[in-house]
Amino acid sequence: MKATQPKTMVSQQPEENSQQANVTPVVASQESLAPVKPLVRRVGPRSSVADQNLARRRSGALLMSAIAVASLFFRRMNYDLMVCMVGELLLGSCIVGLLRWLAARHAKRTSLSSSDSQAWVVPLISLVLIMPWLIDMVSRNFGGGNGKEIQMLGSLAWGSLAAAVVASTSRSISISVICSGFLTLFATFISDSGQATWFAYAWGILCLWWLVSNHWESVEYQAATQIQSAGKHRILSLIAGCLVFCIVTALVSDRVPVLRKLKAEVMPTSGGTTAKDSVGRGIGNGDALLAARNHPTSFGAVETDMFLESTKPSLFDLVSEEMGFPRLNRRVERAQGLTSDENKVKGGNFSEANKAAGGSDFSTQRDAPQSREKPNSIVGESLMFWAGCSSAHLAVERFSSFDGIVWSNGALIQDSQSEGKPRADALATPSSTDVDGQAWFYASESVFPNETNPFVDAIPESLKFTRFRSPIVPTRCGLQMWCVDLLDRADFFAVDSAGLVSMPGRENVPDYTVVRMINSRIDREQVENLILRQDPRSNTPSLPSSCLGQVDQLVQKWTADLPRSLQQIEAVIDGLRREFQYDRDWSAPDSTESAIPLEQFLNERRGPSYMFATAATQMLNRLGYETRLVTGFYANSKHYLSTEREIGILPQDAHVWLEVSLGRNYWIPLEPTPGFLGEPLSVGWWYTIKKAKFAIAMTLLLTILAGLSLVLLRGIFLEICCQILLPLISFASDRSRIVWLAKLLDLRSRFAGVPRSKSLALRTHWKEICTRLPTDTNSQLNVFCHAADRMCFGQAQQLSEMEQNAIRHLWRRLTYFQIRQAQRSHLSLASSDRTTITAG
Amino acid sequence: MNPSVSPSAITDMLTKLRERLNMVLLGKQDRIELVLSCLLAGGHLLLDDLPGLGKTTLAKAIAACFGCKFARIQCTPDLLPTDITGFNLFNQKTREFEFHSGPVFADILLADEINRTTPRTQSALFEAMAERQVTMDGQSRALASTFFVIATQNPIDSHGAYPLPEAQLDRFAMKLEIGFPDKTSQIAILNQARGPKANQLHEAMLSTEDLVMLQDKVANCLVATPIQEYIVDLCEATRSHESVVLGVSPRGMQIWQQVARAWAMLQNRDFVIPEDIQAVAHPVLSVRLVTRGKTSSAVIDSILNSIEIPTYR
Repeated sequence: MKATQPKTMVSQQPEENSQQANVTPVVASQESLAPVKPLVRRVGPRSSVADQNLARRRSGALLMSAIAVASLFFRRMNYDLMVCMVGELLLGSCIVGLLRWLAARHAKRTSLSSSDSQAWVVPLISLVLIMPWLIDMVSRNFGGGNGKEIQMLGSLAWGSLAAAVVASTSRSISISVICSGFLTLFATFISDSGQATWFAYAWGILCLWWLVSNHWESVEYQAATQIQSAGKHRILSLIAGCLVFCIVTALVSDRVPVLRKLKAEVMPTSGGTTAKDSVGRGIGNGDALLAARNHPTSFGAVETDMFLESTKPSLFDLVSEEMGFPRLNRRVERAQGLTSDENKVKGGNFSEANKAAGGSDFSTQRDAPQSREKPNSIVGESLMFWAGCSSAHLAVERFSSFDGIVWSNGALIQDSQSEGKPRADALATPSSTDVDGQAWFYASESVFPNETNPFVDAIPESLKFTRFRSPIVPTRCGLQMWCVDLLDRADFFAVDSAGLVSMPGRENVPDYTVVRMINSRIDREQVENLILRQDPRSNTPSLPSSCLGQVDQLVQKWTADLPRSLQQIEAVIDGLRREFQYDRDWSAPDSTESAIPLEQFLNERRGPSYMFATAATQMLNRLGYETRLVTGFYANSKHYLSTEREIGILPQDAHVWLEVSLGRNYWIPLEPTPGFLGEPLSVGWWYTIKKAKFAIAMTLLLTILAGLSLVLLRGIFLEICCQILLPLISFASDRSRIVWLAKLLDLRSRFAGVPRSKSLALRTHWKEICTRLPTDTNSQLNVFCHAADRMCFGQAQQLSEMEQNAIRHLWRRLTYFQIRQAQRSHLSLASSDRTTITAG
Repeated sequence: MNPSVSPSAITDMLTKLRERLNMVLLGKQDRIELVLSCLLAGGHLLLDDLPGLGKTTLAKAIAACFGCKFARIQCTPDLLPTDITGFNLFNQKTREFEFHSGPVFADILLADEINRTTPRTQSALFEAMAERQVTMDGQSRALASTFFVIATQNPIDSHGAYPLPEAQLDRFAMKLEIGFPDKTSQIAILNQARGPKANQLHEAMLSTEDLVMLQDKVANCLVATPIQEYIVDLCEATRSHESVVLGVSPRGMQIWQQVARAWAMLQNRDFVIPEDIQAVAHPVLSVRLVTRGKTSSAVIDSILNSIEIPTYR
């Protein structure tokens, strides 16, 4: 009776933790009174059975959480970056594994005091919760990323896994199961793929098994000492449950409306299936209908009166307002000098500059712009929203010919004139291809990456139009493909010879249209190769000789002896950015007829962006490069909307830059205006290595040489430093001297190849290696060790004269070389001993 | 305690003590150092060795050195607690109970083959060891302040033995194995003088007061904070070691520090250094560590090697 008492007391503890505390006293008393019988099911004491039950429940919950994580990953697999997902999986598994290890360590502790491992649990759980958000931040930099709700679900998934791992009570395990259940079912609901339902089935079956097991275990746990194993019953009841479930599901699945709806995958999400990009919210799959209903001008709706009578400023007005209006006299003159056809076309463009792509012009002789007011609200005044990289240059018009004052896309006009067709015919309808049920459009096959194309990779970006009054879709250089949700007709678009995409026949791009684009990055190596292969082009100068002289002088100054290369182009651009000032309010002084704005710009060394671009084109032309002027918008990072993760494109962002030809109809943008970031040229690691191969080789060689000499001559370096520092130890306190010498002796013995083990006292260590040292050094070492012990572990406050002498002696004499010599003689003695023994 | 005793006098006393014991137990200087440190630390000693290796001789010699009262119990299964502690006997003449003290009231007690007696009798002895007092019929009687138990147990022939439980083993300061002496010492044992010279070895050379004074000196030995941290780290390591079932208790930790103090004094120091802790680690820990899979010696070595020694700072 007495002997069974402690057992009963122990058994109550886990029972309170787990369940059914109300039956414990009865069971305990029964057990204490019952005669000892052989146990069938239970092999250990009651407490260990409770532990086993808990472990089994935990592993069940762990499996269910793993299914939840897997279902979420399956949901993300369509669009998220595989690298980031694998990274998240690995990192999450590591943290969860670490948590499990800590929990196991905590359980194995020998005392009741809280161990260090407990302190790590909370930070690790916090880390696992914020990990999906951190990974998402990284993922966005590589073109991936998730919606916020998916990240929240990710946090929940990892949280439930962590809860299952660290759970020490069945209540916390149950919380984990509830979380994983919600997550699996929700992830299944919002998934596009029918296969996702397998996760829900797997989770359901596992949960059923888990509940059945829990029930049987609690029955067994409450029972008396003897009970038959219930494994057979569990399997039978599980199979029966599954059968009933399958049969009932098969019978009712097509009859119940809710299930039919579920089968049709109607998703209760905010972003439809385009969860990854926030631009698509409210526009994308499913919600497009709503958008069209609320906004009559949205894509797909017919052009209503409201749309046609719009009073919003046109793009032409917008550019003129931002950069100043062109001076009238030049325009009138120019109009008089043109043929009637041209005049008609161009006249139309002056009033309605951008009804269609091409055909307009751009004068460098303009009035100073109106004073600009700060935007009240970026969201309210934005023409469109750009979800892509900042400092992107979105081209709207391209001008290839320059008469000294006015830019025009004359080549295009001439082409259409020679063929005697209306200019609109120069526009080509893009080709289209089907990707996952969505039509994507592209100008020609040559835009896709190939071995000569300077545009590589595929970067998904998008543009959402709100109040943009032009049919031209602003695009970046290197546009590969574009699409509009639910739109599959290629004739909605047109591409002109300069690569501009427009919507012919429309007043403007309809509001609330989202154009998704696949853009590229510019590969520096390809650009260099193309420039080297391209022959210089002789351009007929359109500037007066005085201006030309100035241009040549600057070009000569900046490029000096640089050969024809990308560096030469960059030298010109850098020169302009370095030596000229950006002045938005500058205007060419209105003096005489022959006044060339460019000449004045070069003299004053300040001006607006169109002057910079014009100057750059003329300079590059002089060097034999083909260039063109581009007007459009600059995606200014100052207008970044952090909540939407988009950049608002305001009227103020109208900008002018230039493009240079690389041959084969490839053009890359250049940014000569200071204060604006150019489109970055990406550089591969292999290219970087190739460029820096000599520097890398030299650095490696020098590092190896320095490292080798440091390793080989380490003793000499150390001893030189020691001898230099020797006078300084006279100024140190007694304790400091001891500490320094102890460290020095450790360093010397380590350098000599006999490092001291961390668990070995200094005296013991030196006793082993000092047998071959001179006697006086040995005795000084003893004195030092005793003094060090007295000072550091005893009550001594100062050193005696003898001890100070010993410290100086050891600092000076017990050198690295002496230790090595002692070590070598010790080794040779040992080997000779071995030889003697072998011979004997 | 006599504070006027100079350090040289203490060194003389310890030297004499060592010489005397080394004459009794030949070729076992290291063991005698440990026995002395156990005695000076005020702990009790468990000798775990074969018969005939000089355990009784050593105990007797220690008692003789200090002129203490020595008692010996041969533990057998029928030994009763009162055979150790003593008993109250009713005196017919005085009509009162008179206490007849048992062997536990000696200064040095040799409990031979302690694992042969019943747990009940063992626990009677352990109360005396831990509390240094005996309670009989509600009346406590204090034992001598120098009360020192040397218990022996035979590692072979475990049939009919009652192995000491872990909780009781913790009451001993250390466990030692004397082991067989080397060849020279064995020849010396064969030639050992008998008669008058042997009797000389039984003359007292120090007093009980001297022993008390030495134990006080040990208690005043300085243990710096880094050393205490080192002890705690080592003890923590025993608790978390994978091969240790039961680590060192706080009481064991205190005993370890005390034995290290005694060891430091035997090295003529009034402060403890890390080597002292390491020197007594094996005998102190082997009595109280319960290991699995590995021998306690291997476990102690691995623990000593895993913890960084306090550096000079």
